[in-house]
Amino acid sequence: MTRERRNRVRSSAALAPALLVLLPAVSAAPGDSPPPPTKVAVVSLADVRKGDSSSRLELELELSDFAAAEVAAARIRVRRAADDTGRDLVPEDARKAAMETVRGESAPGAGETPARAVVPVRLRSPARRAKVLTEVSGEAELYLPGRDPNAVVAIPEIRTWEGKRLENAALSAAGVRIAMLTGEQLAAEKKRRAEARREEARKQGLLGEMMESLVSAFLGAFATPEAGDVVLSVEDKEGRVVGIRLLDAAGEDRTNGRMEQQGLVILSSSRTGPGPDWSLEVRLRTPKSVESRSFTLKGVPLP
Amino acid sequence: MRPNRTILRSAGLGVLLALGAAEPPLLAQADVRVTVGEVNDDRYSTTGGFPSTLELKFKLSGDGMDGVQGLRVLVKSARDDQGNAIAPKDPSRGDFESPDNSLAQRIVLGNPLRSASSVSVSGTIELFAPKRDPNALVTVENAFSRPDKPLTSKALKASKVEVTVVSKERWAEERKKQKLDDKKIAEIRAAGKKEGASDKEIDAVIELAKGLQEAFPVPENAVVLSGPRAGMERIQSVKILGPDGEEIHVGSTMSQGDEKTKTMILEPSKPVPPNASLRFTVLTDKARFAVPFELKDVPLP
Repeated sequence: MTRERRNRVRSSAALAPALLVLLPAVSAAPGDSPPPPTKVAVVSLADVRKGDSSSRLELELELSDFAAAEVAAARIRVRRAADDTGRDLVPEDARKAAMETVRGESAPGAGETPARAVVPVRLRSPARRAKVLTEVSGEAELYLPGRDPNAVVAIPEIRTWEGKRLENAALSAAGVRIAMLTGEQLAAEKKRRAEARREEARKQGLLGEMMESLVSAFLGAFATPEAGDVVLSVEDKEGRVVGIRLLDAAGEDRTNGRMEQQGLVILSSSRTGPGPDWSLEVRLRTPKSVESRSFTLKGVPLP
Repeated sequence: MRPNRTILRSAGLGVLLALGAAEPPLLAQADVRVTVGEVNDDRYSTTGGFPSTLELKFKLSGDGMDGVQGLRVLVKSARDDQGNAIAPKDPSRGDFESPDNSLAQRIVLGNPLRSASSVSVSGTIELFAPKRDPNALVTVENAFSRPDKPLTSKALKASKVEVTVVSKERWAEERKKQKLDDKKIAEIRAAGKKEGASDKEIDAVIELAKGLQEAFPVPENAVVLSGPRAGMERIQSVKILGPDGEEIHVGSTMSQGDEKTKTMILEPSKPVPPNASLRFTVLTDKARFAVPFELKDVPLP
């Protein structure tokens, strides 16, 4: 693996939180048969020891059965993880693992072997005196949008949709409703939500200054778009949306910032906003675009 | 509340405090307490691309810190509780950093063994407090009235600092001379070979140097100060003062030079009038003092 390749892998891992899309975690019911196995190899391992709750063990696993260009996102559910002192390393929130965007590799040149997909795994901090991870096993749920044409929805000329709900059959079929809000609509939404928060506080018996300080804190934390940002109101009760991006006419991803808050998604690109020929791409999870594999690692030396 | 947290944690760590003691030539009695705050032991596999380090962040306090504008940490020895020596990872570059710079108040070492449970570190913290020496703060009035000639200042001379305000014309000539020609490239290549660098690495350095020359043209309002390196290295900071005594904001300061000469390029926010002054903060011996420290049995996370 070249340094460049590793750097790209690392940058994808670093970007993942920014592009994170929470999907409802689907836990296998007891007795469910595990998905077929895939071979994995440790690309890198970081034992970050801070002496507080931010301490963690981070692994990057290469999945040899999947090309990097194929996997757009992944959710790793760790079932078992332990070091040689017997410490359980399964994170408390393992069952609620999020689907994280994985930066794809460009297609290989002639004669080149396609790079394999690399997914990040986060575990609890091992014991200081531990030398080896005795086992790390679980399941990788991979999002492979190229396997289903219905998994990727493109809305051309996105600027023309400002102030309107996006009309698209695939979105409707997936139960996803997206509207592109104007500044006035966002202000009205903010006002509506502040009033709802005030009403909620009133019901809790809060009055006067306490109620207003609560509402004021809510308004202070409310998403504030910058010039050129695209503000979307997204209704996605079944958690089908994996990612939303702004693409230019050449199909290049021009999204350089993304924020999600209470059903609002704010996409940043440039101060002038999307170009007239830019499109909005919505990636949807469909049965055909998701594949799960189990994995097991044993005897991994700790650095 | 970070300082409180640091102190509390340090107390919990049982870290030994160090007080100033005489150690020529820099030393002066000083009430400076050194406590350890965070300890980060970041351990990466060799394929990870990140350097594995043990970082001790500390907090300096006490009356001796009053007026301190610069510090640097020199590690003398570091050892884990298994008796293994640990090498410093970023040996001091020799620069005094502002105490406000979080990167200044830390020690970066190699990782101790996993089986180690604590480390002990000793060394010296060198501090710079200009208020300890009237000659550490030097103002040169009408500093721009005689460009291309060394500034006349008894205080600068006493500190063996020679500075020249370089005119636009002279600087343009210097830039021309500095341009990478075949001779200079050959020199870089020879020096790189001597250091054991590969052709690829040397090519990369040459390309970077060419790129930097083109990428950073000298700004229109730039103030260029140049002088013999040894003296220029003693300048901790420079301020430009307008005729009214008000400071003219400097957006950025760049340094360049060679073994003999150092040039500072200041980028003020507005054109500097010819009757402006320069105020230098100089690292004089009297303004510097050192505090030895010994941090014993710092628990590892």
